[in-house]
Amino acid sequence: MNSTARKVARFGMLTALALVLGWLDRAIPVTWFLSGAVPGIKLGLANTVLLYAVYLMDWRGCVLLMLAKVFLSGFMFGSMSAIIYSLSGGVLSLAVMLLVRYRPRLGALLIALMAAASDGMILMRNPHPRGQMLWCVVLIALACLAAFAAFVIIGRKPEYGVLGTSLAGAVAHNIGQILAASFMLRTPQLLYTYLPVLVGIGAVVGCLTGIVAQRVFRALRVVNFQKTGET
Amino acid sequence: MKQWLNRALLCLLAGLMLLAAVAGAEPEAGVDARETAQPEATQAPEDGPKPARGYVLVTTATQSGWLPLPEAGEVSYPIRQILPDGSEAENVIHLTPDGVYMEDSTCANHDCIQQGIVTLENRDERILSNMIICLPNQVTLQLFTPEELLEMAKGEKGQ
Repeated sequence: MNSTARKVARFGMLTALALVLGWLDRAIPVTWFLSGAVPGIKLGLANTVLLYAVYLMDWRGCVLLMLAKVFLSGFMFGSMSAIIYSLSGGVLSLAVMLLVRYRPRLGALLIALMAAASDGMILMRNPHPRGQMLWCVVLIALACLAAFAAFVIIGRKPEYGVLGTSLAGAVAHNIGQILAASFMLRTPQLLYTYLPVLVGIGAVVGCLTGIVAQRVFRALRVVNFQKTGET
Repeated sequence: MKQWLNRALLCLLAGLMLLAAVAGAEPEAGVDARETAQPEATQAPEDGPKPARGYVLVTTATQSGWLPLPEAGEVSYPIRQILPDGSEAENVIHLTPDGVYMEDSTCANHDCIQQGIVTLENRDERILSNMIICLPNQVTLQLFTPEELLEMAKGEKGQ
């Protein structure tokens, strides 16, 4: 009884937090200065709640939370198409996070490789990048290094595993959204022009949210996963 | 006498070959020459004998079509549509002789307006390369050169 009450309270709290953070992301776009160059870029604060949920709840709770977040925030702020985009991103990122949770080190390595591959793809298409593209290539290279650093750090300190999960989740969210967008807009060109960029940016954002999540976990003392897993 | 005839024939042959070589090389001599020569050889994609500098592929939620860049002056095309969820949407596309940009849109975030102008020169610098995307209204604009357009048409025929 006590444990179900705790579950319900936790679920409600996380849902409320996801909705508020989703609203905050819309109301105060930190990345407004980038939205001309990289349309659709967001900090993804609401998705960090899903990241906590992956560690705090079982998979059924996570799926329920994700659905609640997508549909409630979709009906409150967005339109039908917004729901489709965030649903496809949410489903893919949650599935990946639930899997990577048990192998965060592998996830970080995979993201580092993907960032390197997407950087290579951009350079192959455009060997002498200028302007925005140059910044983008540099940023993705940094993201690749950051993901590799996360791989090394997780190997030494397992409590930093959140980093790997966060990286994989953010990149998977972007991939899911771009798949939905290229399907909805009927422009498969998006997949080879925009996908590499989004993979790199997902790695950057995932790294940032991963660091934040790690700090929060340390503050909440829920890093000890076995204890919370049983409640 | 025979020697002279041979020499004259040789000279004539050489002259003919020289002429043929010059004629054959001429279309490839200058970029300008080739650009003006091509539309006559391979039908211009849109009306008019001379192709525009670029063509814009406009895709909305339900249909798509081509708009040529104007030779001079600037044009705005309003595009009204009803989205699959029933709401009305309007995007105003602005064409200049160099490129295209989204002038106005009924979408909430106005990302498409912020994406600025796409020209044939800045396509390679932009992160979205030749595209302008309005995600909420499901409108995409893509700028192509006439050569790319012809290649696309050939590819579609091949399939």
